[in-house]
Amino acid sequence: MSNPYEILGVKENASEEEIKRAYRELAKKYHPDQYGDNPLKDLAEERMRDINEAYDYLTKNRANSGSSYQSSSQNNNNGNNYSSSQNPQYQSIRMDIQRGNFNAAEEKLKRTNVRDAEWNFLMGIVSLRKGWYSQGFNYLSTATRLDPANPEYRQAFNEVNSSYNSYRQPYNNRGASDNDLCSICATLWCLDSICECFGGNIIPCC
Amino acid sequence: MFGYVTPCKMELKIKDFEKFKAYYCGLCQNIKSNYGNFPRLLLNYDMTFLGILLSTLDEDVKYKKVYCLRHPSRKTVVAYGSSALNYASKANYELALYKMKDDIEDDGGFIKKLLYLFYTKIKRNDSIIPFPESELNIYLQELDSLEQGSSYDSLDEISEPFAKFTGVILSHYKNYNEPKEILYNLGYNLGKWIYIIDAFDDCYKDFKSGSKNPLIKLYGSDFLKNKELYDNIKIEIDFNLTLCANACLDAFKKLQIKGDKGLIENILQMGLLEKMDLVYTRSEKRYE
Repeated sequence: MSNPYEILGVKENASEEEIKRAYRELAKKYHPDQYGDNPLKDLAEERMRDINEAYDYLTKNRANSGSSYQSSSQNNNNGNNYSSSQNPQYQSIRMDIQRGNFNAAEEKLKRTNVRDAEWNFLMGIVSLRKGWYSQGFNYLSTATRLDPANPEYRQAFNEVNSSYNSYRQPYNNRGASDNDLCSICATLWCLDSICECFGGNIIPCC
Repeated sequence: MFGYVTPCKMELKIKDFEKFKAYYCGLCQNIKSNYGNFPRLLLNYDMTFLGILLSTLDEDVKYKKVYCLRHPSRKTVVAYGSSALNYASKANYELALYKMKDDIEDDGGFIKKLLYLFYTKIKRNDSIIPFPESELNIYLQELDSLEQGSSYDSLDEISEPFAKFTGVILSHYKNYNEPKEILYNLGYNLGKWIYIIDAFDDCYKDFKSGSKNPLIKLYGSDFLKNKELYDNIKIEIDFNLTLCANACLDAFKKLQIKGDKGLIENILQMGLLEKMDLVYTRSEKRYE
């Protein structure tokens, strides 16, 4: 997706009202439903998609100054913002991911020729979301290998590993010895000692 | 393929253990009323899990005591009256038929064919239970053609049709109003888990009988004799199974549950892992 401001035809410091108005005008012009059997309908659909994307992006970036990744994804990913990228192509793919539209994201990624670190990272995210864990893991690991300094890729890779490790914890800890008695005794002893330091005495016999 | 989704009995509260039994027996009774006596032999734990899971979403189940053929000495507590049980019994029946057909294709047998014919001709009383047969058949055919054609090159790819299959079964439960996506995710990951663990558990048996097995196709059969190769493959399998199980648990936690979560949480948090370890131990015995 190219510059969202350009797509909507507004200035970079446009107000929310201006953005909304621009969107409504363009939607009236390009909404595919009014094209009926017109061969230009496909072009209108494509244009409408770009307009919607640009509008979403601009309004979201106003509303969310922080980073919040809202998606009913399979794997729990807390607070990751996938919408920032230098490359405009990847930008639109990240927005698809943010919206939960993983099929569209995957389609776009497959059509891309360049297979750089970011491509591997995005493919990894998309694969994980659709439940292809082996594939996702491989892509993420390639991404971190190609760009070891990038914290985003490393974080995603680490999250997969930590899900894998942490899931087993409760099962591995089952039947572990109960330390409650030890902690009660230790607490009482500490309490008594501290109280004695201040001149009192909770447990007289020690 | 069946019997992998069970609770970790030693970590179950007694009330949950009794509940599990009541549902198992309740499903048996339900199959009897919808399909007659013989299909009760097809009952399995995975469908019991389905019944319990869907029932915790509605919580319209009741309990009663009946006499059971297998335990004639005392009355058994059974769950009944839940639409989830109806749905689970239909799923049980359809899946059992599918498994029979699959077994016949793998290694023929006249008795098996006879049994299959017999079960398909049974009088059914389940027409009012909405079930997504046509969609499910598409996935079964996809699975069939992938397995027969051997044209896949990843575990993800070959486990996909069955995963979608169970995803659809779970998400098509009509009574439920939640976003279907969460149920679908649960079903998808559970189905993938079942498919992979079943393939892993069966690989030695399939190798000896010459049947097709996805792991043998993907990794060759050398790992069945070489412990080192086996260890590498086990890492991959364990990775997939763990992440699938984790995703199931995550999906379950997102659901709005009316009933008690304890039993399902036990199954998804502990039961699946317990089964995984059991399967690994079983496989590793071969190398001793």
